[in-house]
Amino acid sequence: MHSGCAARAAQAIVALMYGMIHRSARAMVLEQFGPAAWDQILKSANMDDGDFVSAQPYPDETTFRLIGSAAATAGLTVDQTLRAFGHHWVKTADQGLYANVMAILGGSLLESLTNLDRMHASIQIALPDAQLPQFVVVSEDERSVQLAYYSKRDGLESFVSGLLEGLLIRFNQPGSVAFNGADGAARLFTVTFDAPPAS
Amino acid sequence: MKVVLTGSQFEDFYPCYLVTDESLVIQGAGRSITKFLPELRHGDPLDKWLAFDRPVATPDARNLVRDRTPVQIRSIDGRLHLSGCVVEQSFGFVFCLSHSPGRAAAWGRLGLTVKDFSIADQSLAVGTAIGLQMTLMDELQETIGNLRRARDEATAASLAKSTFLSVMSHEIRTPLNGILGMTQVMIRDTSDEQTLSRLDIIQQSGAGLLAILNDLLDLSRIEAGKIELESIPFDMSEVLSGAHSAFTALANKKGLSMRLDIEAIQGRYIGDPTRIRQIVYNLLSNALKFTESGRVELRAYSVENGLEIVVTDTGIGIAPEKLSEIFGEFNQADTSISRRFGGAGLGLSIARDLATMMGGSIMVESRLGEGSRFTVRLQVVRTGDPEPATDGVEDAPATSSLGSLRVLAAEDNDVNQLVLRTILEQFGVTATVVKNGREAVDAWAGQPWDIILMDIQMPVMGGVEATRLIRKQEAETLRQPTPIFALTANTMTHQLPEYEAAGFSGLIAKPIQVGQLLQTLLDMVAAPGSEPSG
Repeated sequence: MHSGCAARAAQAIVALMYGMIHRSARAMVLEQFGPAAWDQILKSANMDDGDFVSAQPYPDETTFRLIGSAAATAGLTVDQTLRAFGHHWVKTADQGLYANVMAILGGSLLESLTNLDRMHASIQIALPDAQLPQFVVVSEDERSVQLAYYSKRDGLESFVSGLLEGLLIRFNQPGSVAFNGADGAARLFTVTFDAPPAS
Repeated sequence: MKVVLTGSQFEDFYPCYLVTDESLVIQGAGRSITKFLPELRHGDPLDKWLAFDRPVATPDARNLVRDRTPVQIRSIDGRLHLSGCVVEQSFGFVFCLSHSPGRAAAWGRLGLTVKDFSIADQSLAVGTAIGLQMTLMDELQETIGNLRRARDEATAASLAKSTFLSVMSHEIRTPLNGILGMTQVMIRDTSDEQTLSRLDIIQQSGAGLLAILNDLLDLSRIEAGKIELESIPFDMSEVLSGAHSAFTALANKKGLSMRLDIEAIQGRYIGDPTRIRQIVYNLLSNALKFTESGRVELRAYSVENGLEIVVTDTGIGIAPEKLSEIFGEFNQADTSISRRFGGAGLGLSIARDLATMMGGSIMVESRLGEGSRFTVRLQVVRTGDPEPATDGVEDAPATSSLGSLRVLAAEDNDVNQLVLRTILEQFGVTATVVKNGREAVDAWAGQPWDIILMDIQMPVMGGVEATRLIRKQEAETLRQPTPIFALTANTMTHQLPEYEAAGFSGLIAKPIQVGQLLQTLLDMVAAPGSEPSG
């Protein structure tokens, strides 16, 4: 995906994302680049206020503007930025504020991948305006799991790749994530393990 | 309708089900219970592993079914908290349970996953919501902490700014005292017109700088809440006519007429005359600054609960969109204004703040190109008619009578010493100058003095402490009190009581105004009982 995809996504979707995403993005920028970079991102995104509230939904347009600006400021592509943010999201959710929610994913990588959908479903009940994706395990064997990802949003495949890579890191599982394109409404990802994961 | 579920289907709906007989002896358990209580066996009494929170009364299986009693139980080890209901089946009493969302904070630690919850019940979602809510509470606490820190930082920055302004103002006064003092000395020494004209420019420029410094100092004190208002009896018309007189020369110089109409408010009032004078000074100064032709008028009249003072001019006026800004600090209606007319733009802000502190207000009306009208409303109480002017004021003695005055001056700064000494020499007074309060006390002890001029801030011993010591020793030795005047830039109202309490007879403001110093010395000579040695 390139920046054009993000722009198209911003135009195509009239949807909302909760501020917890934006707060995590801010934390990532502050951690990796410092407060001056965050100020620069807000400025170039033409945003006055960078104090997002976790429980408040924000238009996707805001989110994508922020991502585009962050990519430009960091000198990365939008895809690279989304991927890095996927890693960061798993790490901070797991170690910080959302540890309780992450914990119900389960104690192993395979279990977590299987439970991704139910976790998202339960969050959507709690945050009804969130338009969270659906994950379906299409197939699995000793060395890989194929996941179908469904979303009303376009342009976030790199973020999903980053999230899945973040889960590999979380469970110390050497491996890789590949986006295999779309099959109808499903966008397919393969998580490949260098060695069979613990079940 | 008869519904038949397989064991596996049932377990998907109630992963932590229990089956007991009528005596509450366990007959079976779901996977989410055996996962945490692996040693639980068929035939165990239920209360070996689990205890009832509800019902509170002793549970009876049939009553639980009959009354549809909500059931809440916990494992004896305290890890599991389950809630649900009991139904009767042919094979026993079935406890249809799920993990209570009220314990969601412990789910992760316990090792519960989504598989421990029924898709059909919302305990997982409720628990997730509770978890998110806890996160939001943490976030709120963090935000409150950030706001507190920001507030404290802003307060500290404001205090630092006020302190800086205050310190800088005092520091600049010392060299300014040298400039203004020596300029006054030279004006008295010179008769050459061109030199006088140039000296006049130096003096006016210095006076302008001093006015800005005073404004800065006032502003810092207002912001720091350090200005305390006096509440003393005073003659309002004296204050207003005094302010009017102070600007008449400038108005004449600009060819402006300067009107005064204060008949309606003649009388004595209770309030702070110094600050009222300052408000009127600032308004008149502002009016004269922006008026090139026509007139400036000072009027006052009584209103309910006080009076209104109105300053009207025929100056350049203020554009409507700028009216709301002119009382802001460092604000003039246009940045080009400060370039054309000078000034720091503090006068109106200070006037507004002072009026507000007095429970009053300032209002402005203006037409661009036609002029402005500032109306100050003050809550002051009129206490009576003005005191009749005393006739037969004695003529002040000529400066020639001062030569015999024994003057002791305590001043640590070399420039200020020289200025003071030079001014006094012009009056024919040879002063004894010492460098600090300690030396002043010693000098006082050594011989009688007609007057002591005492700086406030000095090394070794300051002026306030030295004066206290002198007054104490005077009382102990029954020595005649020597008039002691504070020589100070600290002429703010709130400091006057401190000077008075220390025993000062009065104060002379720095930079020294020759006229004020001369008048003080003449008063010493003229004072009843004053017998300067000769």
